[in-house]
Parts: sequence; C-alpha cells; structure tokens
Amino acid sequence: MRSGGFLASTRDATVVARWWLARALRTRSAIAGLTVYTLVIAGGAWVFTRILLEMERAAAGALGVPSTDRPGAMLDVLRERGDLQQVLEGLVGDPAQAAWAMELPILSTWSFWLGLAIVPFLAAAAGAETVSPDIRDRSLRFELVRTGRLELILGRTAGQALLVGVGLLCGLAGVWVLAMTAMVEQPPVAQATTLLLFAPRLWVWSLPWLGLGVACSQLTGITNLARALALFAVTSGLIGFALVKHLLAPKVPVLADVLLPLLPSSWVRGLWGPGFDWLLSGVALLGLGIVAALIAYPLFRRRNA
Amino acid sequence: MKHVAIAAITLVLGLVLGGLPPRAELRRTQQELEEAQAADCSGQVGRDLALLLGQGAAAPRTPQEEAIDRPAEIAAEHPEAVEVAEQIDAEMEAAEAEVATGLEELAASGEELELARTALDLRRAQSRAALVEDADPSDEQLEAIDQAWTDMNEVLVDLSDELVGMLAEGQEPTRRDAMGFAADALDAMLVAEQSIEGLLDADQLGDLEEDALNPFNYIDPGIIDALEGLDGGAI
Repeated sequence: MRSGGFLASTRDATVVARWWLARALRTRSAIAGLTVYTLVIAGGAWVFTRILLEMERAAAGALGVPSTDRPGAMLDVLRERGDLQQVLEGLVGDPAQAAWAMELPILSTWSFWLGLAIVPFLAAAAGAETVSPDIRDRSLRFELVRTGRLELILGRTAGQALLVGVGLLCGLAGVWVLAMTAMVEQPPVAQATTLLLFAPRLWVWSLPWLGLGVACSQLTGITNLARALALFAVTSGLIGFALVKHLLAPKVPVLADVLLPLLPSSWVRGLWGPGFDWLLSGVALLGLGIVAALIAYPLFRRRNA
Repeated sequence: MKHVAIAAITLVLGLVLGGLPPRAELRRTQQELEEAQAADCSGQVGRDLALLLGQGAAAPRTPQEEAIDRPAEIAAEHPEAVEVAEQIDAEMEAAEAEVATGLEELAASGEELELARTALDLRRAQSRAALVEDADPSDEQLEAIDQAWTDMNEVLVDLSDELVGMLAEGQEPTRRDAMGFAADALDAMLVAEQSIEGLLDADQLGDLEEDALNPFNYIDPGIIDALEGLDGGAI
C-alpha cells in the first residue's frame, strides 16, 4: 500500500479512514460515541424545554390561564411578535443574523447555539483517542508497516470526523424527536429542515477542535493525558480568543489581526445566517482542522512507534 | 497526503496574510467613523460658506443683525421690547414642555397598548395549547372550536367599533346603551362557550382544567385596535 504518489497516498488515507470507522463499529466505540453526542445535544435541548416549561407555567399563573405540561405556545407567540429579537441578538451576536434566526424554530436555534459551545469539547475528546491508545499498546507499528505516518494521521482524522458528523446528526435527530414530543405546536418539517441546515455548520465547527485533539493524541501514549491536554487546549483556545479580541486588539491591532484568523472562534459568527455564506467560514475551519491535526506531527514523525 | 497538508497550511497562511490589508482598512474606516461621530457637529465652515455664497463676502449687515451684537444697549433703550421678548420666551418654553409631555404620554400609552396586545395573544395561545393538550380534540373538533372563538371575537370587535363610532360622533351612551353593549358581549361569549361544550364529549370536558373554556382567555388583540380609537381622540 505504501507508495509515493498523490493518488496512492490519498487512497492510503481513505483506507485508513474506512478502517477506522470499521474498527469503531466493531469495538462498539462508535455506538458509545453516538450515544454521548445524542445524550449531550438532545439533553441540552431537554433542559431548555424544562426551563421554558417552568417560565411558561409562571407566566400562565400570572395571566390567569391554564398551564400546560409541554411548553412552546407562549414562546412561539413572542417569537412571532418579534419580542425575542434581543434574546437572539445576545445568542447570535449580530442583529441582522438574529433577525434571520427569529424565523427559525427556537429549539433548533437553541440547539445550534448550545452545540457551538459543547461540540469543541466533545470533538477534542474524541480526537484525543485517535492515536494515543495505539501508541501505548504499540499496535501502531503494524499499521505503519503498511502506510505512512501522515496518511495514518490524516486518515484517522477523517474517519473520526465522519464519526463526529454522524454523532451530530444523531444528536440533532434527538432534538427533533424532543421538539415533536416535549413541546407543543412545533412544525415538524421546518424543525427538521432547520436542524439539517445547522448540522453541516456544526460539523465544520468541530473540525479544528477535533484536530487539536488528534494533535494531543500524537504527543502521548496515555489516553487520559491526551484527553486532558485536548480539553486544556480547547479551553485555552476559547479563552485566548476572548483575550486577543478584547484585550490585545485595542492595544496591538496588527498582532491581533495575525492571531485572530488562527483561532476557530473568529469564524463562528460566519456560521450563522441564511444561504451558503457559511461555507467561507467552513473552508477556513476545515483548513484550521487539518493544520491543527498536524501541529504535533513533526514530533510524531520522529517518534519510536 | 503531503499535498493536502501543504494546501491546508497555505490556506491558513493565506487567511492570515491575505486578511491583513482588509482588516487594517476596516479598522481604519471604523476609527474614522468613530472620530466623525464623536466630532463636534457645530462647525462653522459650512454655514459661513453658505452665507458667503448666498450673500456675497461684502454684503452689508442689516440693522437687526447689528442689534444682535449689542443686546445690553438695545435693552436699555427699549425696556418694553425686553418685556415682550421675555413673555414670548416663557410662552415658547411652556409650549415646548407641553409638547414633550404629550409625546411622552403618547409613547407610554402606545407601549401599554402593545403590552396589552401581547398579554392577550399569550393568554389565547396558552389557553388553546392547554385545551388541545387536555382534551386532545380531533382536527374537525379543533377547527370548529377555533371557528367558535373567531365568531365570538368578530361580534366583540363589531360592538367595540359601534361604541367607538358612537363616541366619535359625540353621542354619550346612555345607561341602557351600555347595558345593551354588555349584554351583547356576554351573549357572544356564552354562545361560544356553549357551542364548544357541545363539540366536546363528556370525557374530553372532564379532562379540561377549570378555566380552559373561559371566553375571556380567547379575546382577540384586534379588540384593542378597535378600542384604540377611544384613546386617539374619539372622546
């Protein structure tokens, strides 16, 4: 399998990615991963519906009308009247895009926003398990007999990215089921199309963080250490963005201009909005994902497997 | 795969380096905009230029313009004019204050009406959701229920329009008129409630909460639009 051409190299990486998926299915780690994604994303939506239910019950009591066991009726009225504009501006961070989000079912918007906050940690944790366990038990050497290290890293990253994508779809499917069962008067088709609209955006958003996890995974054979390093890297990335944007940018704007495009959070606002404008941010995030996965590659390349 | 890695690195470098000039330009523009917004708008250049163009640089000043430069002398010469001017100023200030108060009251009244509309919308949506949840009506039943509330609201809006029209024409409703309006409104509500009770079976009615069919919960915000005429000068 090992050869020098671009096509052969790409084929190697594809085989590695396919093998990674097959292994995840065989060892049931895929099922565990998908369950985690579904529980976390749908769980976040469920918490939202419970908070909403209590708020609507309190409002129903104040207005002297009967309460319901499932929320949504009052929220939809407020959304249709435009009274949620400020809330959505707070979530989205841009008045124009908040106006677009106002048109969408609120649970989908909430799940996307929550996904943007949670997915970096999930993706990085998944990425941390990509190489590390095989370094520890030295099984990596058998694979390296058949392919190159770069192909192995990028192939496994691609396989893991596909698993993350399927996990996100499962999570968003869970949100749809929740919207249909735990809320009232939710439009099934609009809810589904909105969630499908958000799925690829969440997936591209996961890539840089997954890449960071893969990079940490190449540094150590101890999976828990790799996971801790990955979560630390994610936290640093998120805090670093806030520091660069709010502290560094006013003082040293040129340096901030150099650093900000390297931080995934700089591209997150572009993921909101109608149409395909988000693809620009998506391409940037894809590039950052590949580069992040290869940050530790110079060390991994010289590592004694 | 080296090509992919190189392409990704090139893309990221391109994003960083290629984005520098546009970001610098954007920053500069934002800074200029902030400076322009913060600048004192009482610049004299434009006005002076307009005067120059309109009157010519050497246009002679009128006696009124010259008088503005020596107010103390004018006041000493014409004390009665000072008194009249002070009276005019006081009246102007009072009128401005009255207009400002009126505008504030109008805005507050508009906000209150908007709040009332929202409250009615919320009451209606929540009551309907509770009715649907508890009674689980069929599509036909739900359609008939919605129609009953619509009919009730049409009667209420018509009555409101009639009342507002009467007041707009300067007619003060008599005690008998007022009782007639109230009776018609209550009748419409009772008819709606009874027709909905007739649409649901005993089990469905038993599952409903006490206030689920309270007609007051289903009043359309359109009635506020009709009654708004009272606030807008109908009386």
